[in-house]
Amino acid sequence: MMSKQELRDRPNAAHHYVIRAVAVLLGLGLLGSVCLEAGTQESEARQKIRRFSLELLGGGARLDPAGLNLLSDSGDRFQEFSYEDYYHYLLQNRLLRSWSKETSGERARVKTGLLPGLRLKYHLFDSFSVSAGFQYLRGGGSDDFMFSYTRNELSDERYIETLTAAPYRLTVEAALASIGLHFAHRFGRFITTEAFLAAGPLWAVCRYRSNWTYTWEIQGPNYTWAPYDSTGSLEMDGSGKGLFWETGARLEVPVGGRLRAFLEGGYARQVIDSLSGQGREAQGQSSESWEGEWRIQKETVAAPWGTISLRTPSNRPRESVGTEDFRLDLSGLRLRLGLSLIF
Amino acid sequence: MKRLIFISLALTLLISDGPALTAETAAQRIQNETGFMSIEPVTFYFHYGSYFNRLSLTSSQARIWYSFQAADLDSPRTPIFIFFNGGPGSATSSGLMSMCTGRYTLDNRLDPEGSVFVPNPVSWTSLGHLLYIDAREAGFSYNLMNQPENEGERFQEFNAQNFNSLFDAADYIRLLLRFLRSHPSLRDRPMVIVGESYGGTRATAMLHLLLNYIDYANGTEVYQDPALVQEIQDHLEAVFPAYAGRAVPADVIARQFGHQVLIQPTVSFGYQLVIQDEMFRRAGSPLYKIGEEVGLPFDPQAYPDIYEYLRAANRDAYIYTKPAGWLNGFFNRAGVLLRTVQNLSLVTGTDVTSVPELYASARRNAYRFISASSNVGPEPGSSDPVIQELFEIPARKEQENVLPEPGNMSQVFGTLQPWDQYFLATNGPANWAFHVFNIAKVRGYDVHFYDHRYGRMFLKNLAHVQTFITNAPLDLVVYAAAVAPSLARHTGLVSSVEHVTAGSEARPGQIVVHYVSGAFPEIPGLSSRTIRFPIYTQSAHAVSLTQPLDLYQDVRSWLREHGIDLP
Repeated sequence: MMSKQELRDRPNAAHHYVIRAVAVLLGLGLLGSVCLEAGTQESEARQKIRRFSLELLGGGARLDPAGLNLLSDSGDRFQEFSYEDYYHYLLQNRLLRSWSKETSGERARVKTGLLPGLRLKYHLFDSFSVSAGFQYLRGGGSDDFMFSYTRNELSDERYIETLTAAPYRLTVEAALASIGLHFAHRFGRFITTEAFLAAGPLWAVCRYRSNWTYTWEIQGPNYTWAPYDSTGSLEMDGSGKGLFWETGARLEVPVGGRLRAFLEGGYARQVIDSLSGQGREAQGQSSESWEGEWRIQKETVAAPWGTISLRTPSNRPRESVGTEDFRLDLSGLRLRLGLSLIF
Repeated sequence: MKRLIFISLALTLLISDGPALTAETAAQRIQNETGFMSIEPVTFYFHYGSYFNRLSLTSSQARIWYSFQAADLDSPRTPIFIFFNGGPGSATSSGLMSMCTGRYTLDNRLDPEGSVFVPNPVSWTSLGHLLYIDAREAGFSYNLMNQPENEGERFQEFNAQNFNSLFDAADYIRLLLRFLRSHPSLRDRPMVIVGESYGGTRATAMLHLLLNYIDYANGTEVYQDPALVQEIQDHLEAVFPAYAGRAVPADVIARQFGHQVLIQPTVSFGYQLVIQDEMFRRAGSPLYKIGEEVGLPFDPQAYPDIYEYLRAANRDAYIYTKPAGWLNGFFNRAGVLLRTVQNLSLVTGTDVTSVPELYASARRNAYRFISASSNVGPEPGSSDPVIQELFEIPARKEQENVLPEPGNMSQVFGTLQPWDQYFLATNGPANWAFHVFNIAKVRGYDVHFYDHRYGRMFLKNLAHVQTFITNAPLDLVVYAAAVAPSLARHTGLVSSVEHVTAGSEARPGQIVVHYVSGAFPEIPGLSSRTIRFPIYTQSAHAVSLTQPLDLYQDVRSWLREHGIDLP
């Protein structure tokens, strides 16, 4: 369990860690390059002509921003509590004959992302190059969902409660600028392998959008009533910046002329420790907007049929509520394909 | 003869209509007043602790009807009595206002048929100022909406956003505080809340909202109404300026809101219903006595619904010694009479033709019920005996019973849309909205008036509020004998509840509530409280109608004993 002070210090700690890692690897790279220099005079002569390569890359990111995904987790848990647990309570107290449930879709979570990018590489030596790059990450998505509960009342009427969320959208986006170090080793004439380390700043945003419709319908023996319906929406945005680093390896093959194709994979650590942004909620005839820092807000729900604790990330400022730090953690495995043009 | 009575009453009105007899200067005179208080759409919400998953509701604009009758004599400490009936959805104007509390009344002793308003010899205006309030959509109060001609839209108006026990209490507080704000000389007067029947639950909710108002905006209570809390804070700061800018404690608030008179009330309704049903089925209960009298023995097995038995025995559930429909007849006749301008002016002591919101031209967006062809719609199908009883109030007949002579409201104020009406003694759809078509109830919020939270709230209020409850044993709708045992069911809060029947008063009776230690941690040292519980052996549910002098005298004595300055 980290203290608040430790959590506040995290950005600095990450910063130092990245700088230290870059310095160590830079030193190792230069040392390796000097050692290899004698044996690569011929190659160097060839590369003096073409030292640059431009790389276009695109791929996927495995994401699991647990803090942000708590929004959907919290929604699922409250749904179960306020419908299923409640109906169970009514059944136990003989206030309901039976109930059933239908669902389609589910609350969206951020699990994967797309990762296009561009990288300019300068080959200092055959086995060592440096790069500057830019990547754009977009993750999450829109997953409309619907649930409908049918209650068979003691009066022989059926109450049908239906909630449709369309869209229910949870997305993240990040822009990453990096410098990188690349250590190459050629196997035979065609295959080159490479290890790399990149680091730099990132700017990220997260967005939550939900437009929902709730209806309550009563079905009797020869009538159907719609006593209540409601629509609403909730939008929350957050943006913040941080530092990231990424390490991995790649396999590169020539595909003709000065063009080479590569496949690279690795792990990226991308954490934003503080986000803030605007929010807006509308329900029925009322609406409210705000601006605030994202926090995980802790709530205890105590109804006659039970109690649950919820942790829900939000940027809505609230007094008198327990909170935890919210971090947008976009770390995870990365896999990319790309083309490299040497010039 | 009736014409003569009417003329004499009209003359009396001319004399009395104007400044009440007060000790104040002409500029400060407090006058009778009748009108509507506009309540804007209010957004409030229910929650069980989750702000993110709360049920947010926005009410419709309402015009809440009130009648203020100035006290015969005024002094800076003259109290204000706030009257309301119950239902929910029942009118105060054809209830307490017409039944031996104001200056004019129906009187079952002087006029057994209740066919005319007569001067009231025991007018409560001799005790203080009287403020009668018709609940949202009951009596003369009406709501406004866009497209009132759309029946489906009207149906959706009758739901929790306009009808639930906490918002209903908030309506009353809003009206009361706004009335006081517009009458600065009355703003700090002691208040005596007088509620009948379901009015007991309304009084409970009102007092709990007032005494614990901070909790209704900080997420503590299930009902959250920040705008109301701000209005209460503003009022309290005006009355108790020493507390400007901070929360006012309940014991300080009770200096103003510290008395309640409850006539045959629901105070812990859910438990009361269970207990009184058990009592009715015991040997020796009033039902067995009725059986002996009418030759139709009461068989609990044959009558799972005891009100069905009373109908079969042709007895009035509100006073079982009278034939069925006796008390509703008075309510209904009051409603019919009040729909003439002359009678309403007479009873209110004001010229109601000067009330702009009564005119058809001012209420084109008004609505009163769902189906334009009947008050009650959709048809109630509940097996709940209380609801069935409530729906027996002949609201539909009322529509056919508009007096044909000149002066009925349509002729004076104009013809209303089919879904609008000048007066409704009981609004069935409104009552049904509290009960059945209630999204808060469907979503599991225990705010329905049968829920036990109101009993707990009553017990907490009792720590600060002097309380008077009538005990009318002939009333089988709210059976007073069940009141004390219903409070005793709150075992987490009370250790015992005694019903003391002996006493030196003409109509003795007390309920003594013994609290468990620490029942309400914020009220240290709370051990017991005593409720005055006088017995009215000849009374119907409407005690003010059937024993008006006795009730008047008992209330006067009790208030004097409990710190209210009375003439």
